[in-house]
Amino acid sequence: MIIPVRCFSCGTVVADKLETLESRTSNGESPADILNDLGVTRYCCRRMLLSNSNVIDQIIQYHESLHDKRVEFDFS
Amino acid sequence: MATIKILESSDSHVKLLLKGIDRVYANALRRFAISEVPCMAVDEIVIHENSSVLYDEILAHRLGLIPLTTDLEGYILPEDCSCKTSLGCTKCRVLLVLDAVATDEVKTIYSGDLVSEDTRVKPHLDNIPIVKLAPTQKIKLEAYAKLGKGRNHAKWQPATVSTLTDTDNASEFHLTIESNGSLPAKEILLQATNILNTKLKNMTETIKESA
Repeated sequence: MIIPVRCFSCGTVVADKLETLESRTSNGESPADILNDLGVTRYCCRRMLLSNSNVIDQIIQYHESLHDKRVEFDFS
Repeated sequence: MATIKILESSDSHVKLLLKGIDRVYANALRRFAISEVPCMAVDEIVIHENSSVLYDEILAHRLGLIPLTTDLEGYILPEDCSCKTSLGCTKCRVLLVLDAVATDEVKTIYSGDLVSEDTRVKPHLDNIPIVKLAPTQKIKLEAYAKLGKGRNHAKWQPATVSTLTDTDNASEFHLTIESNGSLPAKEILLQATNILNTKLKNMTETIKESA
């Protein structure tokens, strides 16, 4: 749904690193190098960030279009 | 003779070389860093409004896991407090308020948006995403942070990873403590030592009394 706040196995906070990871991978950097840079060295924490899928972004699209329709028909 | 050498030290991490210290004692310190040193975490929450896509329970769980900077001098454990109320009093809890609304665009709400009544107790990191809001969605809640111990819930563990490893020399060990940010790693170690001392003293007294 949304990135878990902490690593399931060791409890280190990982959620704060996702945005950096996403912006830097889109610039063509290797995810492995970025994670090493961010100090995410254990494989339990690395899988938290690498295998995450932000499904919330797909669900929010529905609520967004609902809002657009409300504005379109001036329906508050 | 027992000696301790600091190999690496920062706020988030400390690595020690223990010489001539019994393994049992070193392991007690390692375990106390995880389960006995108290730290602050959100415990009770009152949700006034939540029209986001996340359920109240998920929101509460996420808030609980956000590390809060801890002031061990200023607050006491709720079980030691005389108030005995679920939301606590000024001696045993800190109120954090989250009031956020997305107006025209999708908005991400971060841990930095939590407003604390005490500047000493606030989220250690400001950029932990709590929830994403679609336009017109709203979140309004009160979160009550309390001191607690790791043996009751993982959110109250000040040390996330704490390891005791062997070296080539049989009488030497490496003790590594990693902090989640609520307390500096060195402070966790000092507190663990203090708590172990107090427990041992209490035990000696109990034995004396019963003998």
